[in-house]
Amino acid sequence: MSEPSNELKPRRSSLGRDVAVLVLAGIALGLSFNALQAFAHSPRALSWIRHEPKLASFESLAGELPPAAAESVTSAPVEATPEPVATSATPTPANPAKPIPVPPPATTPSSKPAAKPTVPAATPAQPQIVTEESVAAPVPVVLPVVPETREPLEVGLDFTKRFHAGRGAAFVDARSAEEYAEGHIPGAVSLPFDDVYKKPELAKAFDEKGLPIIVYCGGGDCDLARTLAYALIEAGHKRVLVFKDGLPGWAAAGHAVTKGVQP
Amino acid sequence: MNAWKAAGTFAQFALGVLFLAASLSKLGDLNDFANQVNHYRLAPVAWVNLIAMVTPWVELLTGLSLVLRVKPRAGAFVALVMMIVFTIAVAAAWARGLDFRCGCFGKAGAQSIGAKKFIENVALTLLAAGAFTRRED
Repeated sequence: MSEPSNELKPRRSSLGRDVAVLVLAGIALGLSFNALQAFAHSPRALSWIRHEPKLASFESLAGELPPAAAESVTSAPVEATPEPVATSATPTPANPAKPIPVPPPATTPSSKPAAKPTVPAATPAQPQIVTEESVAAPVPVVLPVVPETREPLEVGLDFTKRFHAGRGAAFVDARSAEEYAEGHIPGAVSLPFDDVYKKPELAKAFDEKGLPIIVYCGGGDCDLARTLAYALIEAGHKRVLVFKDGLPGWAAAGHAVTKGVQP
Repeated sequence: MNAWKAAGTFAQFALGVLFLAASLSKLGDLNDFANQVNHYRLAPVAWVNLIAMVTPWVELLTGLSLVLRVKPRAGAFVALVMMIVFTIAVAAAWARGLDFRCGCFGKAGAQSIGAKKFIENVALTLLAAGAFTRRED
């Protein structure tokens, strides 16, 4: 058997081999360079598998809840009042918290039992107020200032509850519309991340009415809230918080959960 | 050497210089480049760092191949494929209205995604196609 001569080899195979050598050499160099940097414990080394960076905590920026303000949340009246109530407590100098006006309760779900259900026939669940807490009017609370950031901030249950009680934030549910219908934080707007991923203009069009945005999802390993928060920031929103405990954390703390599709 | 070949040689050299510049600017801060790749949200997050690790090195070898004229057609082919992928990425980000720096030239060229970036990429893709048509002697 004789070897085929070089002249008979198609030109393309030589090009393919050269391209493969070039690309593989580049990959090998890149991986080796990073391995060397990792070995030298260089801060410039990248982790081999990327994880989303841990979000900064809003609590660490805002400080602890002042005791008087915490009291005003827990002892807040449940009855609805006809107009928005201005915040009443005075912030301590050490805390960046300051009173901010509370918007009218126009964006919250209807509280009247006689309200017409807006559920399509295909959806078995009817809008249903699970507890009366969800219809409470804004109560006097001290709302901390949310700074404008280029990264979302993570917020815990206490501050989330306070923003909710004082209507000081626009709540956004990042889960699917079906999950939203099964139960959501009262007053939250459904903005499924999957929809925003397909149509980012939805994130741009979202009107937070001048309030900070608090995004949540299913808690635990749920990543939708964080990814939606990034999408909202990329769309130009500047004050975006992620409620890390999500709906399970909210419900486990005994707070109201509303059922029904988005009005 | 006829004019067509001279134009091809020039295209290869210009593309090589661009790829070298793009590569070196990314290698200066791979963490930043990894963040930019992540912003495109086209690849799974777990893969983003691996992409950021190897892309500048492939660009570097491609640029060297074109500038030093070592297997320049292979370099031009890789450059063409990369430019097509980059152009699709920019177009997808632009179409989805994402607003971030393209990461094309590391921190040095902090251009935002948009029509200008897309047209630039299309032009460079055509340059790469021109470079690839130049046969080796």
